[in-house]
Amino acid sequence: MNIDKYFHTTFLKEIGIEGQKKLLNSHVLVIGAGGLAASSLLYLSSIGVGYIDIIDNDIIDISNLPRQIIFDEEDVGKYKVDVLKEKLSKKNKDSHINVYKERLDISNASRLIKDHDIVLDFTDNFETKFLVNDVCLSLNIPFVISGVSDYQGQVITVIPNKAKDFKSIFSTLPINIDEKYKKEDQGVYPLSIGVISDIATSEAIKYLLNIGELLVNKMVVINLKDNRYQIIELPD
Amino acid sequence: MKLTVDGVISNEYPTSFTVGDLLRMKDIEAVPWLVISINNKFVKRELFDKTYLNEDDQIELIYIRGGG
Repeated sequence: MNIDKYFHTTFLKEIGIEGQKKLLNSHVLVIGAGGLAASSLLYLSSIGVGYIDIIDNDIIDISNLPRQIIFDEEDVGKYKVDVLKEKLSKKNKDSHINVYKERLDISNASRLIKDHDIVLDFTDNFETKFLVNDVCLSLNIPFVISGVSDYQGQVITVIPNKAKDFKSIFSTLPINIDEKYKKEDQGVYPLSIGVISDIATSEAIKYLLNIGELLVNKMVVINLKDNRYQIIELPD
Repeated sequence: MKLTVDGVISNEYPTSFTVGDLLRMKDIEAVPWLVISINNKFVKRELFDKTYLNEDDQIELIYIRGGG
């Protein structure tokens, strides 16, 4: 380990060199490679998470660039995971990037999710988030689920057998949502993506380091337009 | 009765007023991804019509986001 590289992180007494070693030996799975993932991956790699796996089968579109901040104009038309592997591998050589050019579904979810220390869900639909929720619970793997649209987003952390899960928020699961609502949901403020992504990523890092307080049985809701920041207790 | 709804304070809410009444007053569709908190605690949907609001309650109408 290059001590100089991680000097300012290891200077934090709760982390120290032992904490940095934990990160360098950690396996994190990032599901989805959109705006939330783009910001998260920059930090996961920079901070020295040793093994980062990414699942996505999408291609970079010009409309992605304002919020998917890791991509450049010259990347348009390429597979996101190919570009991520190339860029992140250069960013920190301590961080080993492995990519799966697949869309997560019920047929591959267990295979792709198993053997990770924690999972970051950055997918863009409720159906996949519920799948991640269920598979992580069945595999006893902690996970962080977040979502954003317009100026607002939320984050929840789930430790299996110790906390309420993402589905517990809902009385009726929001699946097969009418198209009219999806069209209303297309606007997004890029800075809200960054803030929510960073909170979710910090939850994963804190879990790996066993420091601080996690958003367990709680949900953080942030609206940057109106500067409204709340932590809400989940229902009994 | 004074309530704060999504950060907006108003004295014009009637007494004996439930979460369900609030949604109807504001003509808000209770889509499945709408959740409501009172003083930072979730209210279960099946309790909307049974949960009476109190003076100075802070209510948040939160649409859970699925986007990434």
